[in-house]
Amino acid sequence: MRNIVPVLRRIAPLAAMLLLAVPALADAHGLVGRRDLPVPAWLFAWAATAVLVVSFVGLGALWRKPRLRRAEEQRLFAVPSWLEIPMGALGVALLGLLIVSGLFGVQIDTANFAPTAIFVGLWVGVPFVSLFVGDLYRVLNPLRALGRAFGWCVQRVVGADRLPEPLEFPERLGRWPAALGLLAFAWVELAFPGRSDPSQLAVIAVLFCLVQGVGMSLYGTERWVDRADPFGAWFSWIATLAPLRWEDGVVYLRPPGVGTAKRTAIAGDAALVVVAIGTTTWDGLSGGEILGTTLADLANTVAETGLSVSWSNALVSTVGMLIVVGLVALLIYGGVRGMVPHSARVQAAKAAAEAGDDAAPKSGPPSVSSLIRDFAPALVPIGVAYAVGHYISLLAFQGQAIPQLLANPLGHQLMPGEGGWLGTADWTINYGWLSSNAIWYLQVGALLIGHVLSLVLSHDRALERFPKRRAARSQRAMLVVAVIFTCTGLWLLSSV
Amino acid sequence: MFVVAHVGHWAVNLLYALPMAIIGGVLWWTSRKERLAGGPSEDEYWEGQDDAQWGDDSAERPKR
Repeated sequence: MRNIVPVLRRIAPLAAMLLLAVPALADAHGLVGRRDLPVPAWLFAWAATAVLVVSFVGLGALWRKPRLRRAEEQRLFAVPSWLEIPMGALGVALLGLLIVSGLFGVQIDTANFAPTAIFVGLWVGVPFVSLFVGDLYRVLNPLRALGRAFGWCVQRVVGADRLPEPLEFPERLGRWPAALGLLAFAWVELAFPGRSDPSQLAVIAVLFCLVQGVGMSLYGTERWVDRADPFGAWFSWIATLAPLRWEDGVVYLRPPGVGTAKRTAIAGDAALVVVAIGTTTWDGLSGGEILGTTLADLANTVAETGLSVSWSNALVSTVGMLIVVGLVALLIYGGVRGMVPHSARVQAAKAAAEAGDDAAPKSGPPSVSSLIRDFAPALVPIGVAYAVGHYISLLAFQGQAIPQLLANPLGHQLMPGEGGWLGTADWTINYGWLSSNAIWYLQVGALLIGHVLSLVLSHDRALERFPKRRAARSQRAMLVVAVIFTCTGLWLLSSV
Repeated sequence: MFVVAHVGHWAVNLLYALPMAIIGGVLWWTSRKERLAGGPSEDEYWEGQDDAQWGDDSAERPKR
């Protein structure tokens, strides 16, 4: 196994370059028109690289001691704890509406509430809002609300002292179940042949609820939601970037990003970010004309073996998605692997060796897996930047369809002027409120802010983890990783 | 024209790869001394100051 490490180290940069070696492609969620930029789009990648390099040098010169984990939060105001009940009930109602509309509504993805609720409302809207106001999904999470309500009812009926204690969740699993769940959701979004079929999506939602229900029953609601609910786990990391934090009925104010630095990562957290970045990258790569044609050819070749065309497409997409997720993991592995020689133990060992001290007790360098875990929070802004850059146009335009679909969730034919039960069914999408150029600048800004914040978090963590003289130098490989992600992200977005 | 158009298309894509190649190359070159000096091998075990706040991760390393 050890022999593979030098090989991985060498091919990690190559893997990243491979991501750029394929021709330009369109973004699957790109709903933007032609941009009219004053300079070529590739110049933005050069400028972004310059900003990252200047930030890196500035951090090394001016940021000499760890600050983020010591930063204090300001108590803002108290929130009544009973508010969690109507918020949870709202989440349950939306989940119920999603399932009912999916199963019994018109089976057209743009007319039915279910697909937009899942892929725009849940997957894009909730994390966007969480980025500003904190962990919204935690209070809206319908499964958490149902789990807590069920537990409360059972306690009342059976008696709290007669209820068995929940099983202990295996610590070594960390958040790996949530990471795998996130990968499964991405598969449904990007590869599953029935992803546009409301009824199939509703069935998947029911199955997801059943699995989560069994898990919560066995291991306890809060523990399960924290470790194995893909949305709960990933959105809670996104919410750490927010300037607001809610805990025990109190809202706190903090500088953005401080929450991410303060949160301790566990096993599987880095995998969550890798899945988020990798699947978003694959979505951008696979949605375009040139790779789209290549993928279609590949799928046709696979279909000649007897597999249906839709499942051949799914197979090709699945393999492509897993390859890109693997490349992202390899790239991050390479970046973190570059830190090992700078650790205190390695430096002390070198000093001891130079001094001819042979009688030293044995201790080894930090393992890459422990470093990946320690630096996982610094990767979160990259995952969020990719999500914002990729989905911002989808949210800006398709997000406007949510009130319309909410008023007529089953997608029944309405008479002209009828607004449905909410009065918003006749609303239309305004495609003109945000220009293509504005979307591009928002995407560039999101990518840049995300990657600079990632460098800041990584540098601050390095000051705690490594000898201070080596902290900045230990992050050189991570600078390369940040540059690769930024340029790749801009390249994908520019190809729309 | 077909060839020119495609070469131009690829060249634009490569412009996105250029910054990462430059940064990667510069950092690779400037760290050559450390690499040539042969940094500490993972096969060697030695004494060093442990970072107490981060705990001991020796259990994660393969036993020998």
